[in-house]
Amino acid sequence: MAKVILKGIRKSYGPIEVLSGIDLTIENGDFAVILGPSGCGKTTLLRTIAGLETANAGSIQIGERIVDDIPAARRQIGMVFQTYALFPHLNVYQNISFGMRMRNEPKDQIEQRVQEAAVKLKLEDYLKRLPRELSGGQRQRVAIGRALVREPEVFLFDEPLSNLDAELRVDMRLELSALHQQLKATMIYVTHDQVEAMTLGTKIIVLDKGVLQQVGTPLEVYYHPANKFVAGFVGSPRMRFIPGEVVSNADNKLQVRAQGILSGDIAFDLEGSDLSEGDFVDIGVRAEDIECGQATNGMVSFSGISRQVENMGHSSFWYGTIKDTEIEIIARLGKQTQVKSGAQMEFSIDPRNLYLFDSDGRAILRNVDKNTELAEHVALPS
Amino acid sequence: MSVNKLTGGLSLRQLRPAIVISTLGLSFFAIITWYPLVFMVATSLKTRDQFFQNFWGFTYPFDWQNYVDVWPRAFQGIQNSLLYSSLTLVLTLIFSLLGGYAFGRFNFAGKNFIFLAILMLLMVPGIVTIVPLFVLVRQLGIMNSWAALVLPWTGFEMVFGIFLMRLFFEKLPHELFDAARVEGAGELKVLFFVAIPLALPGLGSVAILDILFTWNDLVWPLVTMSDQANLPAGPMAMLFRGSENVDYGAIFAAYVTLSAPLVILFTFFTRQFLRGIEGI
Repeated sequence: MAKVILKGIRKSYGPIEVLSGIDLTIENGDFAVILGPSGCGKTTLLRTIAGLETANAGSIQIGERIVDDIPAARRQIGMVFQTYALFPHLNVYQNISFGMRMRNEPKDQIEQRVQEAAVKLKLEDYLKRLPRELSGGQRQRVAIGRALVREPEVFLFDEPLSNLDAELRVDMRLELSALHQQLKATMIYVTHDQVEAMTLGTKIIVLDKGVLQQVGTPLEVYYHPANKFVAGFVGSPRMRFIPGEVVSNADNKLQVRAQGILSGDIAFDLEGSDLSEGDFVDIGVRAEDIECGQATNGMVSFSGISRQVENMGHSSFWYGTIKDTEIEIIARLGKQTQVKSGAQMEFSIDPRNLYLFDSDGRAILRNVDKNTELAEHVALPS
Repeated sequence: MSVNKLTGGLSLRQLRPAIVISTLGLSFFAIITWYPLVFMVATSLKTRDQFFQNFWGFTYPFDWQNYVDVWPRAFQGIQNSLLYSSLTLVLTLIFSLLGGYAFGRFNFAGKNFIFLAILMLLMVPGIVTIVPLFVLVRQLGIMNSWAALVLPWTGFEMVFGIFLMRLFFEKLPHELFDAARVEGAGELKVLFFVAIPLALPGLGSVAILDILFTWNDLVWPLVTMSDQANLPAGPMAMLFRGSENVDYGAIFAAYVTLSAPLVILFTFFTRQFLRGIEGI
């Protein structure tokens, strides 16, 4: 098992720069999830680590070795592809043992490792089958088995669950998580699905347009997004933004005026900020932080005009706009709610739960006790 | 079956003319296609007298003597063809596989230009190259030997083979090759353990086209093989024509014998051939 260090990785296809200088350290035993929208370069980054693409600049270290000049075949990695890439002419046993056979390992050792992997992945009864005779989930497990038996230094996963149906995806997610805990191996996992990222990752790497946006634990990325992109991308439903303007900035208190807010200017505790009067900011609001009903003292309140409500069973999501504005808001309502389109609703938010971004989209650090804040958010219902 | 398909969605009234026309049309083409073969078999079983008595159909009793008479020479032709065709086949398959693999899987400088140059060879009718090729083969001093057939045939056939195999390899998912590389297989192992097994249907198609061509080629062997004993099956059939006293029974018995290996081959491998073509 090994640490992976990337230094200044650049990659372009012709004039298009896909990766623009990625610096990243993935610790031994991390489950690192590279998260980003389609076309952000995450798969290219993974393939570069694998040695399937050559970076135009930069260097990659796996374990103690700099692998820039080492071909994919000798990088000691195990990779699971989006389409599984099982060899259609080989049966499950031959697929799983492919890498070991390529490296001429002793037969009894191959036999033993394949059997172990088959038991681990519940494939014992399918070893003689061809890939086309397996279900999607089984194929997925064969692909994992093939990566597993080689005992690689690093596992690479390229959106491995995206071809599975919703239910199977949840099962496989749990299995992958268990596998990681069991093997304690370094895993790098690419996905555009932020639920996978949040649930699987010990570390999330958010990538957009080939640029690293943020690296952090799932909760850090969720509760302390580095910028507007991360804030908007991580979390479901997505964070919504209310445009505002700085009214004053003095004594670590920032007063922001925003359209449609009934409770007056919003006060933020800041620790040193160069924002000044007249600067534009964006206030981020997550659906689950919005409370329904009249505001109590100290809360930020606004009226909303309903558009529609999605009932999810355990909760429902309200979609609408802030009254007299075009600003879209999503709120999570605790219970089943019937709301007519066009009806007015009253909402409030604890100002400590608001996010603040400057006009360049950078998050503005606030003087909030992160630990209590995190604790509040992750507390299980008693 | 074709009738059902043709009239699948039509009402009864529309059905009749449609059936009649399509049946007549298809029968016409079926006869055009099949009758020469029937004629060939029928004639091969006739004595000279029988041939003049009944030109179009079968006559009884069947005269098997024709086959006995032509066998020694026909067998010689088949043996020659087996040698030339299998040598050509092996070479064509190797070059088509490697060429197609290179074009289908790798990017290299001048790839498109070289491929275009190869593809242009497909557009040149074989017949116009006969004279320059003849000169070349004579210069090489390989006239009247197996090489005079095998080398030009290979050169000619591998053009289409490379083209076909390129399409074939391009269609195979790239991730399969990536997976093999990640699993520790070097380029040669990728070729042998992944590419070739997956390319078998495509190679099957190339093989069949190749055999068809080499077995049936008439002109080139006649140009290069001055020794009749060295002729392959196709031109060997011409020898039975004789100069006078044409014995049609014997000629057609030779035709049947010389085409039998291909007919048998195709009966068994048509499916393989179709699979390769469909795979593209």
